[in-house]
Amino acid sequence: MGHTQRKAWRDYAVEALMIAASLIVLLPILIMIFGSFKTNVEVLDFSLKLPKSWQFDNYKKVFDEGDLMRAFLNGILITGVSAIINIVTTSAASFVLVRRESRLSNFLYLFFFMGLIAPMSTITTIRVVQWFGFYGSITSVIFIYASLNTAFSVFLYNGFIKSIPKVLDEVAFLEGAGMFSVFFRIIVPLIVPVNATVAIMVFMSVWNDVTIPLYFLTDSSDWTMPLSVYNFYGKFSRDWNLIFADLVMTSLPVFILYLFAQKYIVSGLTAGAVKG
Amino acid sequence: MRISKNLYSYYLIMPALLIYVLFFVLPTVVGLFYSFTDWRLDRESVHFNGWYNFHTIFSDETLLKALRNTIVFAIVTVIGKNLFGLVLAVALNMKLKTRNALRAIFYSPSILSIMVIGIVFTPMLRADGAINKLFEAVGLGSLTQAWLTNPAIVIFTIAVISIWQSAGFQMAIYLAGLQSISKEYYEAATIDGAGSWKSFRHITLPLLLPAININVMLTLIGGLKVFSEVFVLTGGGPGNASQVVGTIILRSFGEGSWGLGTAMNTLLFIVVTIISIPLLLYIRRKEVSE
Amino acid sequence: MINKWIKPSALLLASALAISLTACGSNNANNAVGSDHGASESASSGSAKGEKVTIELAISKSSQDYAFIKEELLKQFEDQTNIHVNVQMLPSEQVTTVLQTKLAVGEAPDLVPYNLASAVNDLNLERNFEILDDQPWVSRLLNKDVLSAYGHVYGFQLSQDAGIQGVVYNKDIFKDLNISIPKNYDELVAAAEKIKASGITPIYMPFKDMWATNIWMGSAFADYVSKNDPTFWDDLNANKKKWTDMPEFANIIDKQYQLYKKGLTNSDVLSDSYDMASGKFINKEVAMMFMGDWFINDLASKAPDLHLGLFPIPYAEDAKMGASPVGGQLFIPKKAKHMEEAKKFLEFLASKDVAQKIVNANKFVSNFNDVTTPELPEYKKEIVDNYITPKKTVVTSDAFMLVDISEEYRYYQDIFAGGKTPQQALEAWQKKFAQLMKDKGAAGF
Repeated sequence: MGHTQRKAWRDYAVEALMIAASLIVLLPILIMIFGSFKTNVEVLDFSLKLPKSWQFDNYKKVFDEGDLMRAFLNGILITGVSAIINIVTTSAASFVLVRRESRLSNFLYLFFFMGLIAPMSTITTIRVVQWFGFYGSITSVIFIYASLNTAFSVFLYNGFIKSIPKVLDEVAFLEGAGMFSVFFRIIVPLIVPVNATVAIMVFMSVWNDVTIPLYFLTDSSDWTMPLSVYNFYGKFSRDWNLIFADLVMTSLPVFILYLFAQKYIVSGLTAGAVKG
Repeated sequence: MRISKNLYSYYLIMPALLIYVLFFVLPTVVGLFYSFTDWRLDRESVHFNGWYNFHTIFSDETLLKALRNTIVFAIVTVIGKNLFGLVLAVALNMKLKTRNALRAIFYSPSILSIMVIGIVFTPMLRADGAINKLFEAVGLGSLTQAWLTNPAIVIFTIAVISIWQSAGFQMAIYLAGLQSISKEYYEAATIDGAGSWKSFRHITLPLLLPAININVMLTLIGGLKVFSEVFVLTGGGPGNASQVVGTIILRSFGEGSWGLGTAMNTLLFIVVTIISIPLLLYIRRKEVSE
Repeated sequence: MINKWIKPSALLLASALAISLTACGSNNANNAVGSDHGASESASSGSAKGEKVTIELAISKSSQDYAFIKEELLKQFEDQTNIHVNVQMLPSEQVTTVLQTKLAVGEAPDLVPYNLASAVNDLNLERNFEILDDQPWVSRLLNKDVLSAYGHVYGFQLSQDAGIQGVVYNKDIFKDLNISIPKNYDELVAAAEKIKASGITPIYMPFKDMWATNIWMGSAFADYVSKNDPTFWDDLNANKKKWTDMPEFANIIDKQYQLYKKGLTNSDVLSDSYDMASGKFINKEVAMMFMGDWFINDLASKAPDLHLGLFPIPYAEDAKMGASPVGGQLFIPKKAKHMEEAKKFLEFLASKDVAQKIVNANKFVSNFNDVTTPELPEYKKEIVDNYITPKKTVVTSDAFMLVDISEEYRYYQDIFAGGKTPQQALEAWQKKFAQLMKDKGAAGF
């Protein structure tokens, strides 16, 4: 009795502490959100005061002048396709890497892992993409993102597929199934949570990236949302309210995706990364 | 009966391998090659110049400072992100009413673009900014600082902001680790009369090792490769006070010394490899032995 | 398998683009009153008549007020020629790197605004940019030199006016406090102290932008060298002399720093940036800033009641006004995808009516024989009468540099952060300078 009561008190204390701590995370974000509804003069105090009057027009203005719809669609296209390519290729690769348990597969695993370590070399990547003949295109950017995320995805899938008992494949093989059908019938249904995790990881890193579109997309109508922020920073260098509105809109798609996929992030990571 | 491993054909690896090799490995190898050249925008031809670029790098005091900053940043962020990540995970693994909302809140900075971080924090960190005002308001006026312009502390400020941004991500991995620990262990411990700290120390921590390994690995590699946080907050300034290897590489490209820039990239690769590969091998061996 | 993913993506993109194009196109249909050189010529460059061509112009976000990218102007051009000019704003910190990279791989935008001198240093003008000698507007130029390098016209600009650098000051504040223009350093300090006593920040230093640290030195070094050792810059570039060989340089640097130490500036100089300056001047929070007359010009339309003027950097008696070469020229990369359209844009800007309008709006000193210079604003007239005509100007030190000098700015910034003394900053810069010159392959290094 006394024990459970003490435990309840402890839970309350922890909860209160956590709520207080969450303010540290929330306040800067709230400054941005409130700021996005202020006038360009009022916003300059960068404070937590609520806007005197809510300027919803800021959003409309930013949306129209920043051509955000197009940037949004570009982002969806680039992020979506590179995430799909990444998921399909790395899950298949990890499947074989895990099951083989040979010297070669161990080496290949390390080889992929080097991708987490090596810093990307922008300028030589441009050179290489140019040799292939599609520098400047959305396609090149999609492949670059798919390759940049290969290492982490292989790492996550590896951990998860290891935890799928091999017996499952063996039964299927004995029934005469080929490797592809084992992969698609047995493994694919089981790795859905990791797929979600990988999708979110890739989505977040690609959606927010600024550098690659800047260097690899020659036509600025192909640019993604974070770069539209730069556009605004230029056109309205002191209109922080518009800059904030743009930042809020840029962050919104990822945030919504996160809310939908929240439960997968933890469960996918459980499976992929920490079970080993 | 054993199934032949040959049934798992390497063909399935090919698509991933191809993309990875063509768009990542090949540029890296090409970069290795250019590291030993005098490649420049304003020169028609490229020549090998041996170790000249590396010699230049090590005689550049700014680069040595950048190396030191990089390592300081990596150490501070590895400790900070993991400590806070772990504390948050343990707390939010308890049965709290607002647990899900809190998890979402703590995770949310890690989905923000680095642009947001730069633009929102820069005005807050000014000498007359919100952070100092807050300190003054709660009577801690002596703690006020020129957070981003005092060369002695600027790299720590950037590290703290980086912790602010990604501790939530580390939290998610630790939560995943905690949830994979079976309740039975704790029940057994309670029966044995172990207190919370004891069961944390003797059950949670050891069983959390895989998650700790991964988090340390990811934060370490990320910390050594740091670029964007520094770039958006200070651009390496004031002066060169907060330069890290990542920003120095960009500086070389801006100066037109591309051979030198790729050489620094190569050097960064080597440094990260030397530090993280032994760690990885250690982790793998432990996992196998378990 | 990979192909399967690309095709839908390409389709999706194509349809997204198509939608946006028709949306713009319908706007245009009514205005398709073909002008003299419009649709018919663009057909020859590979686009069917009536089809819209988009050309890319890449510009630093800090140059957002650039005269040639005003919305009405681009719209007028589009209506006349059906060529859309797409303005890419690049983050200022990365402009040089992005442009260098894109030029090196032959994927440059169609139009690049840049400063001629920097284009020679940073962008390898001769190798990467189109010679414009044969363009129809060249024959109407009054001063070809400001657009030329290696004996050819490379750039386009309507103005032939150099940027004049010195101390921008608020005349009203000076008048109210009965301060006359400081003629030497002591007078500057005295003036600043008087302003400070009235509750106004005397000098605004926007040194978060590191280039701004160099305005004081750029003019003062040049003035000192021109009076004491006129061949110094040539000797420096031939490695016959070093930055540290001029003991006065460290003093000049220190004089700027002492203004800060004496509390005569904004308190947080390393956090304050140039884009905040116009607000500070409009609100009369500050009285002076070391800057170029472009700042006064930019503010003229925003705050017509503000009376700003310029005087030379008073590091010593009788200093001259610093003059930087004409900036903001438009260049066309040799590998531009839409060379003809880009040239047409220059023709459009140079056409008499358009040019006159731009020159009037920006109070340019016209560089075209059939475009008249409008009556100059007061500040400009003063500069012309008091400094340019009596030849009291000197070309700033930056113009003599053959390598990227941003590291020099960083060392100056470091002085304010407490990391270096002026002498140490010069020593560090000399070392870096020699390194950069050597890597560039300059003779003597």
